[in-house]
Order: sequence, then structure tokens, then C-alpha cells
Amino acid sequence: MNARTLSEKVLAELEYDFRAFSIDHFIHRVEQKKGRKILLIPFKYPAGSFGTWFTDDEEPNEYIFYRSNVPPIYQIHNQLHEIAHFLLGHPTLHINRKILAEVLRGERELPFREYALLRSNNSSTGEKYIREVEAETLASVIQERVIRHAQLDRLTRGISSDKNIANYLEHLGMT
Amino acid sequence: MNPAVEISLCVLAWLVALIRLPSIFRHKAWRSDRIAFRIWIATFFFALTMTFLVTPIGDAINRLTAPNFSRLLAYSSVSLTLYLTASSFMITFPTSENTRQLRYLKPYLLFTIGLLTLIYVLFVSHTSRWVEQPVPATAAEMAFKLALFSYATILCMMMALACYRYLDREMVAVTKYRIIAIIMTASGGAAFFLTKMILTLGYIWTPLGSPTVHIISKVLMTVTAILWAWSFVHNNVYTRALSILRGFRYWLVYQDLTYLVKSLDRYCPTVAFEDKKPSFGKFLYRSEYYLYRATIRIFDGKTFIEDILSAGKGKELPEGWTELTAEEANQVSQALKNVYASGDFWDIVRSFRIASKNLARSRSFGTKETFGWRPQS
Repeated sequence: MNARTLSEKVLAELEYDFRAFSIDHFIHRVEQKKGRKILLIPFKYPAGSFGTWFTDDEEPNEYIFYRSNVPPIYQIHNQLHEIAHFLLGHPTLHINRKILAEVLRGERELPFREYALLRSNNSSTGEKYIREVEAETLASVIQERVIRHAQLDRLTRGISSDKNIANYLEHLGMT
Repeated sequence: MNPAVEISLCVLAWLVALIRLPSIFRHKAWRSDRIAFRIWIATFFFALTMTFLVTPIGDAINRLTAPNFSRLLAYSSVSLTLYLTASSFMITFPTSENTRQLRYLKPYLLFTIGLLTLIYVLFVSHTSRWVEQPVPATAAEMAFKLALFSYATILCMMMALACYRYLDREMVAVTKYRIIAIIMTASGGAAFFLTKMILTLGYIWTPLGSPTVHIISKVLMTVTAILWAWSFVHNNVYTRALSILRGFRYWLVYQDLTYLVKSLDRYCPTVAFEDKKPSFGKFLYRSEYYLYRATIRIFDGKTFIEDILSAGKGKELPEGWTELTAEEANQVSQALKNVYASGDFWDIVRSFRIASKNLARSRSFGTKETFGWRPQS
């Protein structure tokens, strides 16, 4: 199955109404569907890293770390990319509440090196590379749908500012 | 007129009326929504008008009834079409001017149909077969035409004004564009009937019946008939058309962003895959998506290069980079340094666009001076 078809399948299973999209609303739907709590955590990343997803092996939590010192539009993109890895069921590293607390207190670092080994791969045929392609494709399909629905919604929100005109257009079968 | 054009316009008019018919039945509009029904009746009378004007059909009606009777039918139908549409708009948009003008519409219609009937009975029915010429052949024909064309010009202008008065109050983009289409249809109709009046007056003063006016009149008629059909198409068609129009507008913006993306591609590896540059046709359908993806890619590259450059000299450069690459990357980074990256998407796009132009300019002048952009507020 190619990445695009896979993305469409994942989104069909999610049964999400993209007209209502906001990142929080979308995450809420994912949480409902998957029975896991998704926590978004802003983080000061080292150079070259933008986001990471860890799963909790003790509680039903998923942790999405994202780079905080970039513009919001780019933060949301990175969050979507990581959520896409989760939705696609890709393998990831396991952490727990204790580790997370230590990381947030600055007592230990996130296992970036191990994570990098799991994700990055220069080969354009390897399994890790395919996972990246799948996640980025799913993120782009989500973005495509959000934009398409937002555009349509912007153009067709309601039928008319005047109730009577809306009725005429509807009764003439033009809506 | 060419029979092919007559038949095409007639078919178009019937399509407009018949496509809307199931919806009228489904909603029982004659009971639930009299205005919608009135508008549909107008489309029906317009289709009838176009049918009576098809020469072979008109000739057949004349043979079966009375000489030139098809002309009376066509002129009465178009008078009714104009009355029904104009009165519908005036009821729909009840401004003080519209309400005042509405009172005169029915008496004016009755007067016009009465006058047409009178001229027909007394004169037109006694003349030989009516051969449609730009300039009337007899005084009776001139009077007959002037009665209709003056009425039609005035009603079309009233319709355009009635819609124009409402236009600012409409907030839904699709309906706003539909109302603009109706205003254009009514204005086109007014201009068409005006040219017909000028040609008709050519009977009195020959220069008015010039071929140029005749050509303008034919063009206006075709354009108005097409606009009439366009005013009745489904909202989805408007939505698609507006998206495509936006696509045209955004194509140049996309080219500027693509220049930045290409510049960044040289220094920064893509995340997983490279977004393929769409063809112009594909871009038109999903222009905002492609602009968004280009913006994300610019942020990818911008952040990556800033990370490398901020690491400072002496640090290990990424694979494939040389000192020269670092210098070139610095030039791109400088161009993107002061871009407006927070808030409204379109401000970001405008900012990247300016950065792209500055980068191109600095490259062509061999200078590293580049300037960012921030919104004025």
C-alpha cells in the first residue's frame, strides 16, 4: 500500500470532520479513537531536531515533544508529523511519568540519540525512511483536507446573509 | 441571426428552466416559497421567448395563427420575464427605493403588453412576413420594437440597481459573486436593449442603424444569455470557479516561494520526501495547499540553516558542506532573518515573498545585503 493510500485509510478510520479542525480538536478525536491521552510538550531542542513522540508503557499516555523556539505554524506542522507516526502505529521509544518528570526538571535528557537511530536514515529504501515518508504524507494529507474544508467553508459558510435569499437559492436547487 | 446561435441560446434557456424544475417540485415552491417560484416562472418565460425567436419555430407559429404572431408572443414573454425577475429582486431586497419602485412595475407591465397588443392588432398583423433586420422596415415595426426595448432597458436597469443596493450587505462570498453575476446580467441586458433601441431609431435617422451598433448588439445578447445561465448555476460551480480564480492570483506568489525553496534545498535535506512542484493546472485546484507546503518547507530549511550557522565556526559542518556552502547558506539565512513568522498565514507568505525577491536581487548584485519585512501595525 503506498503512503497516500495508507494515509487515507488511517483518516477514514478516524472519521474526523475536518471542518472543525484545530490542533486541539483533532488531538481530542485521536484520543477518543485510540483510547490514549496525548500530551503536547514544548521543548528546547538541540540543533537539527524538531519533534519527538514517546509512548508511556505504564499509563495510557502519548508524549509529543515539539520545538518551542519556532513559529506556531511550524510547531503545528511538527506536532502533526509526530501524531502521524502515532496514528500509523510506528515503533517508538518508551518512557514513563518518572522519566518525564526528571526530563522536565532538567535532571536527565531525552533519549535523542536512540530516537535518532529509530527515525533517521539516509537510505531511500530502508524501513526507517519509509516510516518518515508515511508520517510526512499523512501530515500533508491532513493539511490538504484542513485547507480544502476551510476554503470551502469560507466560501460557503451559510448560504446568504439574508434568510429569504438563502431560502430562494435552496428552493431553486442552487445550494 | 444565425439559426445555430438562435437554437443554442434557446437550448441554454430551456436547460436553465428544466434543471431547476425538480427542485421546485420537491419543495412545492408554489406553496412554500412564492418568490422562488416566481423566479422559476421567469426562467420558463425566458425559455419561451427564446423559442419564439427561433426563426423556423416563429414561422410555424405564424402559419398556424396570424401573421407575425410569434413576435407578439416573444415580446410579451420577455416583458413577463423582466417583470417577474425585477419584482422578485425588489421584494427580496426591500430598501426604500426598491419598495417605492415596485409599485410601478405591474401598471408598467400591463401598459407595455397593452401597447404591444394594440400596435400588433392595428398594424403589425397586417404587414407582410416579418424579416428580422437590425433597422425596422416600417413605422409600425419601429413603434412595436420601441415599446418593448424601452420597457426592457428600464427594467434591466432597475434590476441591476436593486441588486447593487443589496450587494454590500451580503457576506457569503459565493452568494455575493452570484449577485455580481446577476448585476452583470441585468447591466448586459440593459446595454443590449439600449443598442436595439438605437438600431430601431435608425428607421428615423439612418446613421443610428450602423453595422457596428448591430455587431455590439449581437455580442451583448450572447454575453447576456450566457450570464443569465451563469446566474442560475449551482453553488458548487461558483466555489470551484472562485478557487481557480484564486489559483491564478497565487501562481506568481508560489513562484517566489519556490525560488526560496530551491535555494534552501541546496543546503538542507528534505524531511522524508520532496514536495513535487505541481503543474499550473494542478496548482489552480489546490493553490492554498501548495502555498502552505512551500511555507513549511521554507521553515524546515530556515531552522536547519540557522541551527548550523549558530553552532559557530570550528564546529563540524553537515555532510557535503564546505566553507563556501556555509557562506552561501548564510546569504539565504540573512534574507530570511527578519521575516515575519508569527500570526496570520498571509502575512508570513508576503514576508517570504519579499525575502525571496531580496535574495534574488542580492544574488544578482553580488551583495549580501538583504532585508526582511514586518507588517506595519
